[in-house]
Amino acid sequence: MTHLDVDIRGKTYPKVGKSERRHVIENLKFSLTENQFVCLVGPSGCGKTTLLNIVGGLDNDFEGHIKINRDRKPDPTIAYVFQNPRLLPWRTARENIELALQPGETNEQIDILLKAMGLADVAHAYPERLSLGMSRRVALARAFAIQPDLLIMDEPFVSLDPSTAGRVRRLLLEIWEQRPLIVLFVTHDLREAIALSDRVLVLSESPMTLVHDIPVNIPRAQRGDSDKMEIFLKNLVAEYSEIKTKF
Amino acid sequence: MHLKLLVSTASMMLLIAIWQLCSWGFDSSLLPPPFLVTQALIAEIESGELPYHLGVTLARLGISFFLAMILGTALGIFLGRHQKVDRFFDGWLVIFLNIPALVTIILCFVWFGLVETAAILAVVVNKLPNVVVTLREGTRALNRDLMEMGQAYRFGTIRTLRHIIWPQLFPFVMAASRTGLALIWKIVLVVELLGRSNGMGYQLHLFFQLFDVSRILAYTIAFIIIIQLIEATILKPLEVRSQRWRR
Repeated sequence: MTHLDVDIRGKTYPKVGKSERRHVIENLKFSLTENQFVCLVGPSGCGKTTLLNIVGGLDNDFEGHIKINRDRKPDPTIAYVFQNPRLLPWRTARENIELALQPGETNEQIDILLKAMGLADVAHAYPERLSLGMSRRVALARAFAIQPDLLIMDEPFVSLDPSTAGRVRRLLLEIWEQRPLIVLFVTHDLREAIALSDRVLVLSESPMTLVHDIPVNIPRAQRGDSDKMEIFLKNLVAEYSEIKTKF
Repeated sequence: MHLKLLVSTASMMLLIAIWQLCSWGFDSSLLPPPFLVTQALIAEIESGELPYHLGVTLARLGISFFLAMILGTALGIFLGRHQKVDRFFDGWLVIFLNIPALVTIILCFVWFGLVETAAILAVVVNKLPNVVVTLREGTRALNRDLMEMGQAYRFGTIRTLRHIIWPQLFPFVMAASRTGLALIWKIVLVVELLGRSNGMGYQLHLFFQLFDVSRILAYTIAFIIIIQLIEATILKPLEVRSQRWRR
């Protein structure tokens, strides 16, 4: 089982030029255990991406600690789906996915993943020839291909058309159900958060801290029922005054 | 493709025609016509003089070029990645960039004697600052998003260099190679003229003393043909291959 402990006492961006020193995160603490799917919601610019960068090991300049354990595995695998696809333009879609695997590692799933993402026909195309939606799907396939223990996703379905977004959401849930993995998912859409996650962490304006930790206890089988989802959402908004359906 | 060839052939024919016209207005010893220069070129090739001296110059050019490129690329990347070191050595670079080539050549011959090492060193010292500055700018312009992607997916040093850094630096390396080739062969000739007893520069000096303009032009044409061949058979295909991912 994977465990993630986040304890950030402070994260500050230093003063650069005319911009003032900025406290982005203050006393943010939460733990994710087992096979949890957790959504982070909060106002724009509150520091969600900074938090993901810290958890993903891209930013070590903060006070506090991040602990990720997967049983006795010393080095858990982390995949990061960024806000923009960040594909290497000089490598084909397939090569971009293969490069994320560790040297010597092969994943026969790549072709299956490409097909499931609707990318089989463009596997050998360079990113410049792909639409933004396709590039986003390649970035998702790259993250899924490395079979991560922790999957970090920063608004991954933005700019996907509703049917493709729905298909990729289902695929994400299938992958998450098949093998134990923690998903940390940033979204501005509370409906999406409730449809996908076990827990919704509501974050405050900058300096960011945890405002609410809301368990989503609707059985997954019932999440396709839009009436039940709307009732849950209404209750949530009524119960927590700071919560909005769109952040 | 045919049209391109036709245009460049027509352009060269025009240049030769202008040369022919001008030569009618001058004494043939001052500006010999294309026919006399071609005769001199054939005679020099048949005697074996031109291939020998051209070969010697090309060897010096090759060694200096690769030394300047390898050292300059390594130093440029290092300075581009380390802001503080770059700030410290920036003044040095400006000084080396502005030292006249002739001064470096004379000093190298004075300090190390009229030997091959001094000749090569003089050329390398002249070219090195240009390569360093070009590659430093290339390194500063590296895409941070892609570097973070590589870090998130644990590419490690070698894979990051090969798949993320090198493709981005390649256009800068090509620019440094092109300007380098053009600059180095001119410096090599001066080095040979001042302190060697073989090579194109030495021969040109000899023909200058004999006032043999036909042979001066014959050697120049031979050299330009070689440089154009290097451009067409090595540099251009390399560039096309590396840029095939562009739309």
